[in-house]
Amino acid sequence: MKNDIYLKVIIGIGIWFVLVTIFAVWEYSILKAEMVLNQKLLSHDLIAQKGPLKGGSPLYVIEMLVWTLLILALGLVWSKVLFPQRNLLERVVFSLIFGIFVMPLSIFIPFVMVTIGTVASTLFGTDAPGFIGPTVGSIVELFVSGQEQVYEFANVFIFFVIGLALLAFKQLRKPTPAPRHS
Amino acid sequence: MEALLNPFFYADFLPRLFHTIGTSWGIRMVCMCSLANFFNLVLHLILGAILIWLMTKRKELQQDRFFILLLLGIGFSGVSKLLDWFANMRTATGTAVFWSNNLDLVVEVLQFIGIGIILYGIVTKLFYVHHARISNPTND
Repeated sequence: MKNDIYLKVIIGIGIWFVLVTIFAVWEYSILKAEMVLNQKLLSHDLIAQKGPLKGGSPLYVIEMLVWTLLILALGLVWSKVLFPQRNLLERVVFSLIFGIFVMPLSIFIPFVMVTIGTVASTLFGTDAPGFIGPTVGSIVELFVSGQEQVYEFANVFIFFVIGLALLAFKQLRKPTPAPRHS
Repeated sequence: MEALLNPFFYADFLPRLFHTIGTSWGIRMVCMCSLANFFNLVLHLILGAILIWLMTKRKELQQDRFFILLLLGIGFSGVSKLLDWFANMRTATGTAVFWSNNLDLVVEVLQFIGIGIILYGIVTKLFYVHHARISNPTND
């Protein structure tokens, strides 16, 4: 297990989510913004346009399982790159955690930056940084136009391609065993 | 900073296929956070099962406050994820967005309590000072 970064990666993702949960979700203005955002989403109602999922909850669970398999594929590729010596259960656990981390990553980074900016300006009693307004606008627009899933799908796809490229690179760099001389 | 964050809103540069998949499959699943909640739920079940298995195998762990707190925290957090996932499922299988401010707050509060309990367990475990019992000097 020399140079094994399994726990470090999982703890790193855990710290990221604690940061997101404590700073982003529980920051009052963001929570208030979320309530306003939900009113906007309710008025827009993409669900009503699409109609209910035919097949009800069983089909919903099946769709979810199909997505889970795709995320497992993503995680297994990355775990093969990062810690190939780990067993299957550990790699499955990593895959689920990694999937949760990757899917909303491109949304959470600006979200966290906005929150840090808001909290810092409140604590220091200064004006909110200029980037907050436009970034919040972009985040709200993203949700209202129903693009959240587009980003999540794209994030998973991009990470999958990067993972495959890294895996291929690693395989190419692997020293070939010397031929046996009889 | 704005210039640094702008690349994260890259949807306009994506091929049409991504928009088609994201807005059809994704919308039917309501938001993909429901999938994340599902993974979370599975992870909670795996971790909870491992903890319970460990605690039944090694009886002394049943007296260890750290493991009890860990299991309790996982319980709170898991129920939170289940409720969140349930709300998403109601929307996907219904005709309108299922949203309840109260349910959302319950979900967040349960999650927060769960994280709090787990962090408390970890912190008290990390900073636990073992007070060695000072034995009485004997005359022999």
